[in-house]
Amino acid sequence: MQLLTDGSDNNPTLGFCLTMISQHGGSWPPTEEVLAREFVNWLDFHSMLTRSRLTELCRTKGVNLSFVPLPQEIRGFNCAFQEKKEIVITKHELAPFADSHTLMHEFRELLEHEFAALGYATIGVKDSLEEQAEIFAAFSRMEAITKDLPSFIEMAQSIEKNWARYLAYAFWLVFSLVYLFSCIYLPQLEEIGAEAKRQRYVRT
Amino acid sequence: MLILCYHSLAMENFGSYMRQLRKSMGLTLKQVETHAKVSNAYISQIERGLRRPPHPDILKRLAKTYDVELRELLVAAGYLEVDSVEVAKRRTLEKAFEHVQSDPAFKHGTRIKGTHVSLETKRFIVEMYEKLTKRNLLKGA
Repeated sequence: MQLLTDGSDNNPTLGFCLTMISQHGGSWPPTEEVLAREFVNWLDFHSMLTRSRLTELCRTKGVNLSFVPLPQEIRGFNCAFQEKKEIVITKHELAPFADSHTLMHEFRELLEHEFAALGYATIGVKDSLEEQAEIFAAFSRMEAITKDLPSFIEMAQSIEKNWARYLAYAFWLVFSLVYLFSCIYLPQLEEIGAEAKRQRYVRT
Repeated sequence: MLILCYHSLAMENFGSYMRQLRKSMGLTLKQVETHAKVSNAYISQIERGLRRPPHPDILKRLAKTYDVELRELLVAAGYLEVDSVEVAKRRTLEKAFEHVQSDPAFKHGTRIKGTHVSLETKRFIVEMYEKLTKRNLLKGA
């Protein structure tokens, strides 16, 4: 006998969306902050992840992530067809933490497609998904660093030598500040970088 | 469609091509005037097909403003001949891209710099579509 399911067995992102709807349906749509917090927990996303770790995380959620050279104007791309989901991120992104930011951006767009298909779109027709995805990416990364900070401090506390411990505190403090700064200002930093690159091409 | 059959485009077609380029960049005539140092009245006349395609020097400035290859504008204006095979390939690509955009089963999005979608990007999106759907839209293109 074949059991009827909601289809989320083979489609974990759909499962996440259904959970969100069941938990927050009463006050729909959730804010980007709430959505980001739930998503970061669901994905087990952290502030410091290598590309291979990001790829592995996505794979566990049924999304095929790859890093390839992309046309100059694209930083990331997502697509879904039936149950297949793909996210592609540019291989040549140099800005720190840009991979994570783009990944979260692309995931937000994938989520919105699912929400819309379920009749629970979170943005209006006139709203820009692009902008919402940027906000979501920033919130997701802030959530990740907030979640990781206690373990960073714990790690530093376990160091016996005083000078090394203080150095570790200082390192994590600076790292956290830079990370938080990049959550908010990464898109602007990327634009500055892209503009500098364009200028270089013009000069040569 | 932005990239069209360029050769033998009449003035009117050239004008509408130029208008589409400008709109795709989200620019007003005034903004183009400021950026390219070409009078907005003159651009408006070109877009409406009332003036012949401008001199290549002006096209050079417009190419920068519209973020397209100068060659594309020169071909569109009739200054350069274009290989018919290349035109056919571009048509196939444009058609394939339109098909991808109109397929409701294929959801996609991108984190893009600016608003202009280049041919290279269109090809990439079509190729991703082909990969996921196992359909072949770009035969020979």
